[in-house]
Amino acid sequence: MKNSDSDQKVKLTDQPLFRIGMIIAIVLVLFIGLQQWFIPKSFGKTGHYRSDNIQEWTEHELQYAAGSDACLTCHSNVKNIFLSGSHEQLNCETCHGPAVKHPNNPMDSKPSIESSREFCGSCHQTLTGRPDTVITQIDLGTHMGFANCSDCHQPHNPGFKFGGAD
Amino acid sequence: MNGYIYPNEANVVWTVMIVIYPYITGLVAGAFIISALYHVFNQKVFKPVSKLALVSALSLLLVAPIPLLLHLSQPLRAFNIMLTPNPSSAMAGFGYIYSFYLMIVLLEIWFIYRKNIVTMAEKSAGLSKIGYGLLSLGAKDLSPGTLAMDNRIINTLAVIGIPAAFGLHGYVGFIFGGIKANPWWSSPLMPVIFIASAVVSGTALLILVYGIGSRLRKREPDHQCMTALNKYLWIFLIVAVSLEALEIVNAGYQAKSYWPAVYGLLTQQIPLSFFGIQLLLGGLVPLILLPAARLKSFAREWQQRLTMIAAGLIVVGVFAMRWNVVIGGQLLSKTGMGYSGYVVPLLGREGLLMAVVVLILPIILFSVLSQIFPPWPKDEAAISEQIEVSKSRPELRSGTVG
Amino acid sequence: MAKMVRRRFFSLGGKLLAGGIVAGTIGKYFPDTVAHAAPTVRTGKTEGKWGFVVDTYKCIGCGRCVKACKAESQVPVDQEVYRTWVERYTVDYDKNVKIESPRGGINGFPEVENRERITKSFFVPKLCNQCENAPCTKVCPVGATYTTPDGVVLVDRERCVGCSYCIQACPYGARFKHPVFKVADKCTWCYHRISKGMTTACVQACPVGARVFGEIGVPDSPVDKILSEERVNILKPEAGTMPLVDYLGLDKVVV
Repeated sequence: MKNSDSDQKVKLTDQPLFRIGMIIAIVLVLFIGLQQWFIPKSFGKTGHYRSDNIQEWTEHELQYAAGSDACLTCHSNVKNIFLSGSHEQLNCETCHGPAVKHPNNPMDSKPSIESSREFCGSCHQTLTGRPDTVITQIDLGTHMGFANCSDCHQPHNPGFKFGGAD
Repeated sequence: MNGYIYPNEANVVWTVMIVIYPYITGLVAGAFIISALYHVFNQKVFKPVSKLALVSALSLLLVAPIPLLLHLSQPLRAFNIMLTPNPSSAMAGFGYIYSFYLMIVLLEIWFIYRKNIVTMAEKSAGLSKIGYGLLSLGAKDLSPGTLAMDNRIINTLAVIGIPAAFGLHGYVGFIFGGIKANPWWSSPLMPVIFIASAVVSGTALLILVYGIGSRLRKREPDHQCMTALNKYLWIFLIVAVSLEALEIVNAGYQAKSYWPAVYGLLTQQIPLSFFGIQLLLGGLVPLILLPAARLKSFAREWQQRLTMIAAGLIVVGVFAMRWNVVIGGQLLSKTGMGYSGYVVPLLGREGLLMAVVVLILPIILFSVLSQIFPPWPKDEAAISEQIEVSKSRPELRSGTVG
Repeated sequence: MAKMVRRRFFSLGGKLLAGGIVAGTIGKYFPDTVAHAAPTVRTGKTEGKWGFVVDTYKCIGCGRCVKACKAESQVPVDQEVYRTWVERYTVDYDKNVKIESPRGGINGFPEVENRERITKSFFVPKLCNQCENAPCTKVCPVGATYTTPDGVVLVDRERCVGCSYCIQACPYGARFKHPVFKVADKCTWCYHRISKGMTTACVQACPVGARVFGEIGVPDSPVDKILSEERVNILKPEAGTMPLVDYLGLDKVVV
């Protein structure tokens, strides 16, 4: 085999350890360089995360409005009856669904209007686990046949009943 | 699904790919330990498998990240784990520990095969000459001094390799053991169990690769080596099975609030894969088979055959163990009041077909790598070595010690 | 002599400095170690700016909060993933506990079969606890989930690799893989709303005031008032996660 006669000093740069060491060094330097390049700018500013992300979350799109005030500025016809009844503590969107787009675009984005027995029953039907100290409950199966709730009750103030029924 | 589970638990998020990952890395460890026994603890009897162990370790190690990438739902961001590793995360070390481990294996293989590479670069022609030339990195000196230096480096690497292997498997175990939300995982024993079962499965796999590979090459495996592997495997298996049993016995004896849920998991959700495959087929049966295979009353051929059957059972049993930890742990709801369900889908990135492909990949890789790095002992060398060993250690001659 | 003293002082200073750095580093990686090192028991909120109270006496199980949450935070309605959900607990004569949350309670709950045998029943809404000692942020390998300076745990959708480790680490099942964005997702206490001075969508949609949200340490804060006057409890206190969501009327059967 080659060189077998001379086990004199091999040039340092020809030694296996040196060659492989150089490869490792190059890989390490490349890695550290890439690492610096790819880490996002705001990473680590306030903790081990990209702090710009906090701002991004605050910009998430809204679906629900801030509360009922905006609704009641336009819908003044509902305002008085709503604020005088037991549904006064509800937000409009609890029953009408998310409506943040409605004020700016009242024709295209319409909140839902539901008055079915099932819809009202989702809160008012008697149910195991539902505390009767918190909410008025009826049994949909026996209460007033198949009439729609809004036939008798003013939904914005359910204590007020149409047709003088009680 | 039965009982009550949190609604978000309906989807099992760690799938069969996360079963395969610790399984494959575990197989790496055993091969590595045998190589270390040869290089560091001077167990010359392992010479016939010392190269085989490293080449099969490399084939497995190169495949290990694939199931992880298949599992990540944002695989293109996988490099984030190297860019911004979270120092408080048990998982964040993966990138660095894996790279370190891979580097050790690559270095060890390079130094062991350097003589081979340089010779090939000189002898061969055409493409393979260029290939081997590049692989040699131009360090073509084969003087005795340099070769002795190579040997010292190999031994150093083997020494570093042992804590590296323990580190990698201990860390994989800690990924599970450190999760307090899951009573079936949360245990300080988990890293130790992972190390033990890794060593067991890796040694068993090496027996299979050596035994089957020899048969395929129409050679008889070195009997002393097989017997020694059998003995070591038996000792490793005793440790692994005792630890796994201890874990359950301890949890049952302490009977903390979560025990009924764990008990239900073991007896109703995964009884077959836990008691049947992991403990019985993969534990108790090989515990008896392995020493039985060393009985003098068996012919050599049957001794080896029984050893290989035991090794095969162990390799299956350890897969079941990984399954029972990864999937079992997720079947157990964090409510402690119910169990979710998991069926491996046939298709898809995390499906059964892909799992089979990932498990076959190391075999293909091994057959490719063994063309570049011949792992089998040269026959004449093996035989002369055998005689030498038998001479120096007469008790090994019969091959039935212990 | 003076020189000597000074040198000794400096060397002491150096040791203290080194010790401080080491302790600081350890503290950074294991925040709970430092938090628990103090012998006093903390019950108040120190880090978080916000507080959340769930009143289980009031919840009627209508599912409005679940529906509102899915709409506000763009979580697919037809998938089994929830940032908030409602559970119903029923205990019968034989002390059998049944827990259910059909589709997270988004469409309410059916009547039970053996109503006359039920002795105790109530609803428990669940959501992310924004734990002060959050196990989820601790395990994230890439720093994609974190606690904001005002105490809310968020997920960075641009950094998350989707490994699901945080989902495993949460003892409350509050995290899931978002089916559309393919990253970990969870309740943010409507961070985009509360940072603009609004309340969360679930609080706003609740018809009975079973959910209360607000700032802590501010005069007349409804949350502060409950926390200082009422007997509250947290979920899984043994997990040591220090949740910021407190419950009124939490029964021992609640998981």
